[in-house]
Amino acid sequence: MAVISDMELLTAWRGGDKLAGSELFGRHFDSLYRFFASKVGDEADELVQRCFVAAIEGFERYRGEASVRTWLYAIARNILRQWAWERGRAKRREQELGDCSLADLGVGPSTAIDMVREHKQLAAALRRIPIDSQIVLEMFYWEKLTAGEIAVVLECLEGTVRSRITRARQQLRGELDQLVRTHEELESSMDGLETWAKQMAQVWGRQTGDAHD
Amino acid sequence: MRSLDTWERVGPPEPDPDGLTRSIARKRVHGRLFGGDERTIIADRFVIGHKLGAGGMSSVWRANDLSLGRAVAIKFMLPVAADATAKGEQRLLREAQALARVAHPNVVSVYDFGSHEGRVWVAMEYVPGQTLRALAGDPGSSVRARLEPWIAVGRGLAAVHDVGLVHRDVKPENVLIGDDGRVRLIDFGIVRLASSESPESDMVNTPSDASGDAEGIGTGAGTASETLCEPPGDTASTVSNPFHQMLTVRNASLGTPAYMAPEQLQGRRGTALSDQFALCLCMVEALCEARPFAEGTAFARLESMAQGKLGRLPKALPRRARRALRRGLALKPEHRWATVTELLDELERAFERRRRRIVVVGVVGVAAAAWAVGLGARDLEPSAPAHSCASERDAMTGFDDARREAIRSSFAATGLGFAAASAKLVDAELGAWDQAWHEQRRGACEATRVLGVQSEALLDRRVVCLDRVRAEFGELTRVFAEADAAVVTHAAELLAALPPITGCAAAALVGAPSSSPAELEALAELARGRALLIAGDQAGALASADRAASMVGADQRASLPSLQVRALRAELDVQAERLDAGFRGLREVADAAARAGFTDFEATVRANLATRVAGGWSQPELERWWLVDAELAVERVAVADDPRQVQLAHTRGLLAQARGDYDESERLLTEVLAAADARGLWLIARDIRMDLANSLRKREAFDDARPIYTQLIVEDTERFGPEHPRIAHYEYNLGVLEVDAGRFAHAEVHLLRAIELFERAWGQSLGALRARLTLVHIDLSAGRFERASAALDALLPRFEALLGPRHRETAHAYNASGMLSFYAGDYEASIVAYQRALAGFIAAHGPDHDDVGLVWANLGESFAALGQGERAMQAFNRGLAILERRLGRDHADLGPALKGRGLAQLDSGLFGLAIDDLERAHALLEAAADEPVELAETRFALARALGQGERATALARVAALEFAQLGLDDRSRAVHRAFELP
Repeated sequence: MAVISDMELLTAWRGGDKLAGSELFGRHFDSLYRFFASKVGDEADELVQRCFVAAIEGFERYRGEASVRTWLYAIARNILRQWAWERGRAKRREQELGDCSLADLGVGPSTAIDMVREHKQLAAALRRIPIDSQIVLEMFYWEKLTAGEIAVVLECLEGTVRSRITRARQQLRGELDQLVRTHEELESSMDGLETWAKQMAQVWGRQTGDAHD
Repeated sequence: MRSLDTWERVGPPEPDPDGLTRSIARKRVHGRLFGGDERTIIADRFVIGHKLGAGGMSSVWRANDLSLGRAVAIKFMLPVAADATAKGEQRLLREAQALARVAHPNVVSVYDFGSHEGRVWVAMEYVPGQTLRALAGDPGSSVRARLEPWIAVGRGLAAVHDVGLVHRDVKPENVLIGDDGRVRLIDFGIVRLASSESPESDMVNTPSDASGDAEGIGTGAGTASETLCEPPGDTASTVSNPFHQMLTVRNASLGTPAYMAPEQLQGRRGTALSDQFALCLCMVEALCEARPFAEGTAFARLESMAQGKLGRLPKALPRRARRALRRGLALKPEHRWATVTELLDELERAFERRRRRIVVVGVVGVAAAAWAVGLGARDLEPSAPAHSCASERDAMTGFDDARREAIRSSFAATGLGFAAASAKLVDAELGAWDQAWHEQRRGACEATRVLGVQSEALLDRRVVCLDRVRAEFGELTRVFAEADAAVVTHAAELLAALPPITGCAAAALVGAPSSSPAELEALAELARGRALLIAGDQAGALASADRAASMVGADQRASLPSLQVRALRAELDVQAERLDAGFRGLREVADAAARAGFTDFEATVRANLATRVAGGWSQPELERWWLVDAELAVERVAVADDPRQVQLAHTRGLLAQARGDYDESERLLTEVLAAADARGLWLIARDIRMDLANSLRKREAFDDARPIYTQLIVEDTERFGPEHPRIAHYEYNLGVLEVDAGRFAHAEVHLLRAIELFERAWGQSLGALRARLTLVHIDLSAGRFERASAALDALLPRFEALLGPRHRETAHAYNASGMLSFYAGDYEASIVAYQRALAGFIAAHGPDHDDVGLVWANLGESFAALGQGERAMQAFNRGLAILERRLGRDHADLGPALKGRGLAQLDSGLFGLAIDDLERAHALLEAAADEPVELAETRFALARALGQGERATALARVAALEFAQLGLDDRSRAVHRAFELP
C-alpha cells in the first residue's frame, strides 16, 4: 500500500476527513510539541493545538511550495510570536520581537522540568538568545531542516540562513560560556573534597582504600 | 566548546526525558481536535490532571480517581531501561507493594500501583498543603509544639521500617502538612527494601548492579553512562570521593547531603538507623531554628558531627529529651537507638506530665470498657501513665482484619453478581471513616495535651462522643459482616448512614449533656436498628428499638437513647407508608430533643424529616416550613463541613421541583452538586445528579437529561458491580423520559430492563409495578388496548396488596383502568374505576390536586357518554374548578376537560356557555398540538355550537379533513353530513 503524502492528508482533512487529520496529527505532533516545549513549557499543548487549527484554517494560503512539515513550523513560529507579543505587551517591551529572547519575557519551561545538568545549561542558554536564533538552531540541529526550509519558517531569504545560523551559534556560545563559568566556581569547591575524604578517614580511623565495607 | 559539540552529536536537550508529558499532551490535543477522549486514564481508574512537580527520576501528577471520586497524586517513574528488563520493573513493583502495606496516618497512603506503558506508577493520597519547610515556625511556640509534628513523622517512619523499608530522605521538604493539620511523610523517591538483594553491592551505583538502577523507586534507570563510580578496589579519585560522586549523579538520587548520616556520607547505603539520624537532625533543627552541624562543606559538617556539636538547644528542652536526641545523632549507627519507636517513646516520656485524674461521668469506672477503645483500659487506672497522643492502631474495634474478612466473605456468599464490587467499595469507605475517626481522636487529644487549647473536661466529652460513634460504627460493620442480599443491595444507603464524625467536634458538644455508660449500650443497639431499617428489615429494626427501650428504663424519658427509640419507631412508620403518624412522631422527637439540649441530634432528626417529606407529602407549605426549621437547627450546631447542609440544600432543590419550578430546581441542584463534589460526598452527589436529570426530564430537556442517567448507570456499574438494583431506578427514569419524548420503542427497552432488575432484587416491589404501569400507558397510547387491559388486570390487585386501595399510585393504576374501559366502550366499568382513583387521590393529596381534577374530568366524559348530562356537568365543573385553581386558566391540560364540558353544555342546549368553553378549548388544544383527536372533536363541536356562518363551515371542513387523516372515516363522514359539505 502506498504511503499517503502529508499534502494528501491535509487536503483530506480540510475536506472533513477526520481520520486523515488524525494521521497527520500523529506524524507531526511530536516535533511541534518539542518546538513549543523547549520554549514555553506547560502551555505547549495549547499552542500545538492552535497550530493545527491554524493549519486547517490557513489551508488556502498554503500552495505546497514547502513541505507540510516546514509549513507547520512556519505556522508554529508565528503562533509563538503572537503569543510572545501578547506576553511582551503585558511587559511593555518596545524592542523588535525578533531580538527579544524568552528569558527577557520572563518565560521558560516550568521549573518542574528537570534535566541533566548539561542539558539544563544548554536549555537555559537557548532561552537567553533571541527567539529567532533559538528557532534557527533548533531547526538546523534538531529537526535537520535544509536552508531552504528554514527560510520558509523564518520568512527570510534562503541566502541569509547560513549567516543566521552562524550568528546564532555565536550568541549561544556566549551565553553558555557565562553559565558554565558560574558553574565552574561550583565545581572547584567540589575538588576540595579529595582532601576531605582523607581527613574523614582519619576521623573514623580507617584507611581510605577500604572505605567501603 | 564542549557542551555545544556534545549537543550536536548527541541530540537536543529533551525537555521531557521520558515522554510522559508529551504523550499526555498528545492525547489531550488530539481529543480536542478530533473529539473523543482527551483524558489519559491509568488502570481504567485514574484520570490524569496536571503535573504537580518533577524530580530527576520521576514526575508527580494530580489525578482523579474515577472509582472513588477523589483526587490522588500519581508518581511516575522513568521508564525502566531497556537492559533492565522485567527484573528491574518487578523490583520497583515490589517496592510499591511494600509501600502500600504501610497504612499509617502519618505516612502518605499508597492506594494503588502498577505499570503503564513501561513506567511504574504509584497512586497516593493527594495532600493539599505545605511542606514543613515552607511552614514558617512560630517563634513563640513551645518546645513541645515544635517537636510534636516530628514525633508524628517519626511514628510514620517507624511504620515504614516495620514493613522492611528504609526512607533515606527524611527532611522537612518531605513532610507535608495537609489542610487537616496532619503531617505526612512523603517522597519515597529513594526508599529501599532493607534486605539487600545483591549482597556484594554494598556500594551504591556499582556497574555490577547495572541490571537496572541501584536505587529502586524514583531513582530511575541508570544507564552505564550515568553511573560515575568505579567498581570497588579502583584507586580512581571518585572512589575515595563518594560525596562528590553522589552529587554528580542526577540530583535527588541518594538523599540530600544536608541530612545525611555520616555513614551515608561515607558512601554506605542508608539504613533505618540513618533515617533515625536524619529525623533527629530535623528535630534539632526545628528546636533550634538552625541546622546543627554547621553549614558549608561536608567536611566541616562531619567534623562537627564527630565532635557532637549540636548547637544551642533551647533551655526548655527536658534533659531526658536532649539525651535522647543526642543518642539518635550518634556517629556510629550501632550507638543509636535500636529503633525509631524507642527514640520516640523516650522523647514522649520526657514530656510526660504528672498524671491528672480524669473525672467524667461514666468514663472512669466502666469496668467492661467495651467501647472505651481509644483510651485503652490502662488509662482508666490512676497508676497508669498518661496516654500519649500518638496514634494507637490497636484501637481497631469494628474494623479489624477479622471483621473486614467477614464482610468480604458474607458479601460473596450472597452470590449476587454485584457483591464483589460492592464489598470492595464498602471496605474502602469504612476504611476512610476509620482513618478519619483516628484523626479526630488524636486531634482531640492533641488539642488538650499538646496545644493546650482545649480543657480536659471537653476532651473527655469528645472522647466519650467519639467512643459512642465508634460503637455505632462497630454495629454497622457487624451488620455488614452478617450481610444478606438485602444488606448488599442497600450497601450505598448503609454507608450513607455512617455517623458523621463532625458530631464529636468541640463545637458540636458545647452545652450538650453527656451520656452514661448504660446509655452507650442502648445507643449502639439503636444504631444497629437503624441499619436494619435501611436494609429493609422492619421486624429486626423494631426488635432493636424494643431492646434499646428496655435498656434505658422508664424514668429516662428525656435521655438521648429514649429519644432515639421514639425516632426509630417513627421512621418505621414512615417506611411502612404510615406517613402522617411517622412524620408527626419525628416532629415530636425533634421538639423534645430541642428542649433537652441535644442540638446535634435535633438537627439530624429535622434534616431527615425535611428530606423525607419534601415533595412526597403534598403539603407544600408544611414541607417548606419544616425545611427552614431544619436549616436553622443545623446552623445552630455550627459545625464546619456538615454534610447535613448539603442534604438540606439538596432537599431545597427537590422542593422547587415538586412545585414545578424546574429552573430554580436545576439551579439549586447544580449548586449543591458542586458542594457535594468538593467535599467528596459522592454518595449524595449521585442522588443529586439523578434528581437533576429528573428535573430536566420534567421540563422536557430530554437530550440534557438522558446522558446524565446513562452516565450514572455506567458509574454505578463500575462502583457497585454489574446489575446492581440501583440501576433499575435509572433505567426506569430513562424509560419515563423516552415515553415523554415519544420514543416508545426505546422506552420499552429501558422499562423492561428496570422491571427485570427490580423484580430480581425485590420481587413485586413498587418499582417493578410502576414500571409495568408505564408500559401499560405506552400500550394505551399505541392503541394496544387488549394488551394494556390484560396487564392492568394483573397489576391492580398487586398495587392494592402492596400499597392499599387508597394510595396515590394505586389511584394512578385505577385511572389507567378507567381510561381503558372508556376506550373499550364499557363506560360503567370506567366510572367505577375512576371513582376508585378519585378516592385514592383525595386520600393521598387532598381534594384539591391536579390529579383529582383530571379524574373528575374523566368521570365527566364517561357520564356524558352514558347520556347522564347533569352528572357530567357536575363532574366537569368540579374538575375544571380544581384545575383552573391549580394550573391557571390557560394551562394546556385544561383543553380536553373544557371540550368535555362544552360538549355537555351543547347537548343540554346551553349554546352560549358551550361556545365559551369550546373556544377556550380550541385555543388551548391548537397551541398544544399534541392531541389531534381532541382538537378535531373540538372543532366539530364548536362548529355545531356556532350553528351556521362562515366560521362554522370552515371549522367543520378542517375537522372533517383531520378525522379523515387520522383514519376516523366514520366521524369524517358524520361531519360531512352534519354540515352538508361536498
